[in-house]
Amino acid sequence: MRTAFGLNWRSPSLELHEFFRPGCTGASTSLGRPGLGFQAGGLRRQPVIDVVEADPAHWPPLPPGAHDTAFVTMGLAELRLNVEGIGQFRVWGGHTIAWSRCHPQVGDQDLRTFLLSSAVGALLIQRGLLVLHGNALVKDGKAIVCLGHSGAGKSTLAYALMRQGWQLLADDLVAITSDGRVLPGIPRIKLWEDAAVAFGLVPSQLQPVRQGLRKYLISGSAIDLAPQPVPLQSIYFIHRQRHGISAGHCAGEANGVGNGVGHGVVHGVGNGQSICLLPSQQQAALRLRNHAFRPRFVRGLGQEGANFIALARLQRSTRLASLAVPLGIPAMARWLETVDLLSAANSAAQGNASSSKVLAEVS
Amino acid sequence: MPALARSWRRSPNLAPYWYLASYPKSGNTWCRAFITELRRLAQLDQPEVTAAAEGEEREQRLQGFRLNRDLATGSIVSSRLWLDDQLGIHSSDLSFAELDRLRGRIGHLPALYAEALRYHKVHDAFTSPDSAGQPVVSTKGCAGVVYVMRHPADVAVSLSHFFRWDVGRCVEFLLNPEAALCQSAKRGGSQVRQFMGCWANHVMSWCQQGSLPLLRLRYEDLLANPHEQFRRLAAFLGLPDGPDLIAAAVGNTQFDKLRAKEHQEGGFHERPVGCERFFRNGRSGEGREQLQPAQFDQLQSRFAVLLQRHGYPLI
Repeated sequence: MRTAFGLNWRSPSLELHEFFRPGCTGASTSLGRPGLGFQAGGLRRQPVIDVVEADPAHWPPLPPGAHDTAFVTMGLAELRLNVEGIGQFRVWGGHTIAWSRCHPQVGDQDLRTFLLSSAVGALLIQRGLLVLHGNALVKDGKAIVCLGHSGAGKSTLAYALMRQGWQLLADDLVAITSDGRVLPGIPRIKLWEDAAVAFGLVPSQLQPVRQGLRKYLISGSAIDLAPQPVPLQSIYFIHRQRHGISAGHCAGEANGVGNGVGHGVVHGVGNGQSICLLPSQQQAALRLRNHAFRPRFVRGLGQEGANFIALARLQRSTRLASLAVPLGIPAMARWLETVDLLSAANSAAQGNASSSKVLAEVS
Repeated sequence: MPALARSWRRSPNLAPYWYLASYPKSGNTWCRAFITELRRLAQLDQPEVTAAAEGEEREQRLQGFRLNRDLATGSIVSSRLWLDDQLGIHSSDLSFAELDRLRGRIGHLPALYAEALRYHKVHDAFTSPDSAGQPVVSTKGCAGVVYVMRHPADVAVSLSHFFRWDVGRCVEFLLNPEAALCQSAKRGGSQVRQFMGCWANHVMSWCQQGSLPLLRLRYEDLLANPHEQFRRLAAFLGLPDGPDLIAAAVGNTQFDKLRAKEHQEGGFHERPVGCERFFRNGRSGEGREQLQPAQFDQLQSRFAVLLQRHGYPLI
């Protein structure tokens, strides 16, 4: 049995070794230390999720849904995912994931790659959790969540933060409870080869995400994981910095639809980098919605209403900011030494009176 | 409202869509700016739709082919955001070859929450060596493709400013049968690899495909005779094409106005590192002036048949 997202995972036919194994005190985990009572009795009370191998020929028919695609079919309590040439997945009831290998040559790691992301994400959505696409890191008992679309630099930033003493709480899927805590998720990071090399890692010594891909799993003892739910402090929308930061630039970033006249508050942090509050509540809401994990799943599984409420609650309780990450890992590392991401979003909010006035006018 | 438009509103998944395909730096963005402006003038769209379309153009210009940006929607068909949405997985967990075999079945649905118009930019060739002879774009429900072409020597000059490559390297790129955008497998990005092949392969792949209705436009004709050429574009797309409307839209999207707008919105200052302004010069004939004679001859001799077929006299 393994644990993640406050759930126990029972998977007799497919080892989910990227999940945390209770009782296993890895080199870097703080689990097992005295005083971490969350795991002690909590594990026994956690719901059990079954991950089972099953023949799709025996899966009951699922009527087409309004939000289906060529690869995803959804009903109110069920999702089917076909990853062609690799596997099929059936996620239902918020309690079971069935999987099937397309052919014997498909490796376990290929299956895990898609199961641990899309299938687990769908299951968490079915359970009514708010699931965001990003990662979560912890320092001093508080969590930040970094959101961004593919290629925004989330994983690179997360790894850089870990090297500066942060603990990883979740990667890819970030599940947030109704009381604003981030659940411990999957303790691993995926780094592309260029980033791995820039961090001084040796790709040949790393496990590829899938055979043949030049993207690697950083997991196990390489990860300092945070094993307990942690209160959420700030959410950052990550993007790579452009040349020539300016107030106008920052506003444009935050605006997203580019009318060029946004009202984002600029907060300079070392070396001219910037952290911007979002220009309006509406923009913040849209941004959050678009960074939910697979919005199509949320809609297809009939969770859009609940998700909307959860997002609104999150928006009220958490500071949201847009974060321009410097290009290049050395520059990013230098920048991180000058900024405290636990407090930066709050500092931006309190930055100066005139900026706050602008914020108030547009909120 | 026409019956067809009413049915699209009821079921946006059935709305037709078009491709604007081109080799990079051949006039694609100009055409899209014209379409957005024409629709705005004809009051076909709500102001927020126009703003979203303009914003998306801006994002794509600023993003270039290298920077990773938080694209709001997936109006370029190579957007990972769009692909991920319909695949239901991270496209970055698939190889480019695996993706090319799937991409033809992705894209007929609008991106979830997308508010931009459905004129999709494409820089891929119609097929790739990995797509097993199938198109890398969806053809289901597609109303047609506008292919915009430009003399490859002028493309070379424009690319050299955009990529900050020397012109010789750009000439090699145009001649390279394996040329692609975003092709590094060692880093992530917001777009997937876009196979193009050499310039001639790109042109032929789109102009000789038989799956989609085609309108071929030449950049040089858009410059020389904009009213007639943009009217053809509007008519092909089923948009209003009255002379006054076309004249107004053409006037509002003249090159100097686009460039001024780019400067006004901060595009010049926000350009990707190493990239000059997107709307730089816009005229034709620069290739003849700036390429070495040997470079020009190399392009012309390699692409002679195709150039002549498309009305470019050999020099």
